[in-house]
Amino acid sequence: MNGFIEWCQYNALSQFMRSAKWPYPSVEVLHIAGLILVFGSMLILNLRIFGRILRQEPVPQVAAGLSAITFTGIAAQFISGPVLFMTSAMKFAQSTPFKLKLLLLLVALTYHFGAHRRFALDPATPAQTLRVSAMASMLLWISVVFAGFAIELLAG
Amino acid sequence: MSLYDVAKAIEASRMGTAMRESMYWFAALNLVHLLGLLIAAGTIVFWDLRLLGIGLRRAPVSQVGKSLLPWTWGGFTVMFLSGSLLVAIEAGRLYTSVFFRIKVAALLLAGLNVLIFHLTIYRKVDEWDRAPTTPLQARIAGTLSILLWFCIMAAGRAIGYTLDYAV
Repeated sequence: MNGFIEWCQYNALSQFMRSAKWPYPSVEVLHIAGLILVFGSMLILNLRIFGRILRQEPVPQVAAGLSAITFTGIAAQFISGPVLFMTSAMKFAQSTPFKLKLLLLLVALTYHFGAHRRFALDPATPAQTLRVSAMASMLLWISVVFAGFAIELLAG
Repeated sequence: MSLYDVAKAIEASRMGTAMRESMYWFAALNLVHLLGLLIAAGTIVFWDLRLLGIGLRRAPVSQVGKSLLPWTWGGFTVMFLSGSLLVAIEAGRLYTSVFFRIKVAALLLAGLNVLIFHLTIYRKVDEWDRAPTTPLQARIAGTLSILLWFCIMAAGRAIGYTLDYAV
């Protein structure tokens, strides 16, 4: 594990990221752009499930329409996130908020693709199940954002 | 008294100083600002993508607009209020920041884009509400909006890396 963290910290890309002031903020901007797509699609899907928006559109249709954008956002996150991590791999590897965020992210993604997305795409899912699932989904994603925010806050 | 003097006076005011000297205010305001951004930008981008015929394309344009607008305004209000307080903390230094100026300019242009869109092509939305392809002018407005909001967000992030915080 230590060997891997060291590789992260000292590889060429990581060195480039530290070579000037602008690479880190630039990748961070991509990370926030991806976050807007992922969080935005979850927000819209869950608001629809709660009946607050797009009431005339069936939930499975909304879920299907958002799908490609969610994937695009996740792709942006999975490219930018590891690059940000590598820049200060040794620092992040010891950061409690960072570990918490990885754990919450893993739970949120597993829950989304394992349960919530399936419920939303299936017209036969009872409305009550869907609403409970939407509540869980919203709480999970908000906690991922909070933990992500805490990483920078506590890194100083 | 110039605008710069006003900005410096706000920064030096009792409220500006108190918030600047507290670790919690700055972090809390930033977090609220981020949550406002996620709600506002999260709804704006899906509306823009709808104008480009991407995403919620099976729902009528006007319905997506009407549905998302209250959430966009809610998020924007949170962002604007928390943003104003963040400005008060370091108004003097922000006045001379090039990224702050870019951010304000992009924000004004984004507002102008919305205004032009609503006064022109959106007036005839009944004609293209369910059309498989949206009119060119609507697609231009959607693209501009995405680019301007990206600019606003990137400039905002850049401010955080270029100002020297006297904390």
